[in-house]
Amino acid sequence: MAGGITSRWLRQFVQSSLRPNQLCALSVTFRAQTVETQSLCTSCNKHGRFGHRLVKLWEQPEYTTKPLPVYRTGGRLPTKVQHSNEIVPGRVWTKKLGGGDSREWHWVDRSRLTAEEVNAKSYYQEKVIKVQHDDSRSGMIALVAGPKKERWILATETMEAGTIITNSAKMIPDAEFVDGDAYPVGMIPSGTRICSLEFVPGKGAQIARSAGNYGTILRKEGVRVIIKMPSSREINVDEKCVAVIGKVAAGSHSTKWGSPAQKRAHGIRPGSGRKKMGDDRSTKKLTPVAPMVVIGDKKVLQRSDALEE
Amino acid sequence: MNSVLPKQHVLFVQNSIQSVFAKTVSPAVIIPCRKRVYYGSGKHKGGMIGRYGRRKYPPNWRVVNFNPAQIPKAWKPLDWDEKNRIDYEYESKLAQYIPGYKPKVAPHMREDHHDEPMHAIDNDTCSSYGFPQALALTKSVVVEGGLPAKLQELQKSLPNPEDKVIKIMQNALLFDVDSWMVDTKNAVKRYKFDNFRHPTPERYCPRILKEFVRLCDAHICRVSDKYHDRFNMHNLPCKTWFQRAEKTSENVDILDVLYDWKVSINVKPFMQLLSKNPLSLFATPDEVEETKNRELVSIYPKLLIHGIKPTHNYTPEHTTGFLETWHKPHLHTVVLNTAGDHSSKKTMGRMLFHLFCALHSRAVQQYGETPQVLAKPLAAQAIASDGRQFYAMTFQLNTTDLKDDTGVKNMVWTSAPLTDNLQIEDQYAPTLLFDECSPLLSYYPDYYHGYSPDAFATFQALWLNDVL
Repeated sequence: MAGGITSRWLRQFVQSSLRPNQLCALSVTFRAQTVETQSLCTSCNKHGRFGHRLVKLWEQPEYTTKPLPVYRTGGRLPTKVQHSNEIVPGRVWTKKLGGGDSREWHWVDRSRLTAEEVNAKSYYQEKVIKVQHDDSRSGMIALVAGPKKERWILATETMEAGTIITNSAKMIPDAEFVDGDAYPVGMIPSGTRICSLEFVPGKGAQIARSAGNYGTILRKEGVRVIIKMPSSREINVDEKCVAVIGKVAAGSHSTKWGSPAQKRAHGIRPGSGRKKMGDDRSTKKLTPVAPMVVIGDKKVLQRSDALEE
Repeated sequence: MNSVLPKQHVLFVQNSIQSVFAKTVSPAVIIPCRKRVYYGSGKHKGGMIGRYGRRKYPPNWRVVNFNPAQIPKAWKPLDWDEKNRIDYEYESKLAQYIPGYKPKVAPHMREDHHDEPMHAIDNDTCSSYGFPQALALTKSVVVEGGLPAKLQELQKSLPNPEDKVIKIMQNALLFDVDSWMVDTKNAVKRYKFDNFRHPTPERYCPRILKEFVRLCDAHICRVSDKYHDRFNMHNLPCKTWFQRAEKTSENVDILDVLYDWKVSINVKPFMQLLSKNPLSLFATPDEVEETKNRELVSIYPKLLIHGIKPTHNYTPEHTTGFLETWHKPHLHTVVLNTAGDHSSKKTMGRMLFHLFCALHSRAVQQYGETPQVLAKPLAAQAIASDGRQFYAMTFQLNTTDLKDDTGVKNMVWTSAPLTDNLQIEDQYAPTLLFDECSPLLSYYPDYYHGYSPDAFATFQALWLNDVL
């Protein structure tokens, strides 16, 4: 079946009627139910692709800066439902995954400023202790210490050990919008490059988080801000969504694989090789840019009178 | 069914059918091989599946926990909360029927529960904060020029028996017999990739320190009668607590962050030298007054209690480890075993916490709990060593008023000359007793090189201060 099944009743009906050798043909979406569980999601649980790697976050009672071990699943199925101890077969769910070097997972804090801090208009600074590569992402991460706690964050290009970065939701006179600082999008002047942007205030960064990516603030319309994403698509978000100024640090990341040995070290097994044969289906087609995405209550936002009220 | 399949496969098929309808879980006893056949569906019914004629998973996978690769579960197991939950009611019932059983009590129901939290520094965690944070917490200032002049003169004037010190070093590092050497039956667990490091610093460090103490005490017995005015104790606990506050910086506005804390220190030094008379002071009253003009080290944007975990279960008390009637109450020196510490900045922070805890508890017993500037300051010394690296520090407690960063401050002298920028790690250089000493150094005459007499000279000067 092509595409993904999103309705829950249909999904349960299909799963109960099908046998395990027919399940792998579907792609089912498992959405994280709450903000808490979403912050605990790792490389697994993205559009139903339970990948090669797993981190046991339920063993950690609170946030830690210690690197956690990463376990391999070989692309095999976990349980179908989140809160169940159901037994599953050892069947492959995602192909082309296996092997690879052992990894360590760093718990990166997605929200530089929480929704409570934005509403309370808080301001504080943090100091960068070190910047390093991360096994589980292309961008670089930085260990940062401030008045609250020590945490890992996504590093920007100009971040170095010893620099001081600001996180503020308060307008300060003579404020300099420097690389690495985090502000609500409504405060940042239009034309600046940003990264690690939130879609919903308080949910955590969701876009422009990989190496070298950035977005640009195009214009502001009242309470809403329009931003151009790295895919050159526009998005309309609330002004309280937090973003970080600058580009994500790339380090030694490159878009091309140097050799098949690097791919195997990353955990990608060889494929059939048919994609490079030059069919009509495999060529990249130029498509026009999709229309702007509006995040929020569309019916309310489409009525311009509602914003003025 | 039996006509389709050969006889050798019948038993296995019957067993698999029974296990599908069984309610109990059967163990994974399936051994896939080329000739065996499982039930199939459609065109594969009753026949071979795939090129190799075997499946990778059994048909009764809903019953059998077939996980040969031991793939962990992606979600939190349902039993996780039940296994890690403590049933306090069951614990209280056990205490009724089992004599001598100490039940686990919820933290908010314990007797030592307080609403206000206290940030606790323990013996294990005191080496994880660093020297600048320790200076800022204890409201102390580093005096330039290394150790005090009196101790620098003693380093040069006192005799240094190099032959005996080298013999101590060799006895501890070369001629020490461990279970590895005597083990003929390979009963002791050894790993393939273990580097040859025999013996470990955790073994030779206390030995070297005790031999140094014996050498210094032998010199006292030859020269003076004050050997019996001092007493050496091991692993004596020491506790104290104090109130500390910090001034907020401009524009800073954070939720749920306080700037007034209670801090407690609970340490157990390796060795403490106690004496009948107090140690003479290192600074004059004029130098103590000059500290009002000096500024403390700033660790902005961190707070002073960065990394110190708060607890609501504590008993605030001041203890020195012995009763008030003890006839040798004054602290002379503290010796620490820092085998395992790799950072010199953190060992110096550890030394400072030990000294401050010991002197602050004595000041509270002498002058009371009210924070004040002491009329007669208290002084002490500290030595920390790895067996190879030696650090020396002297401390003078002038105040117990730690609510402000202004006023008179406490003073610290270190063996390594430090600059104003305390964040640079290269300046915390220790004095080395030797560079290398092991039986593998066969190309050196006595199996060691890089010996320096400064390490024992500093140890001797601090140990024999105020005695000769």
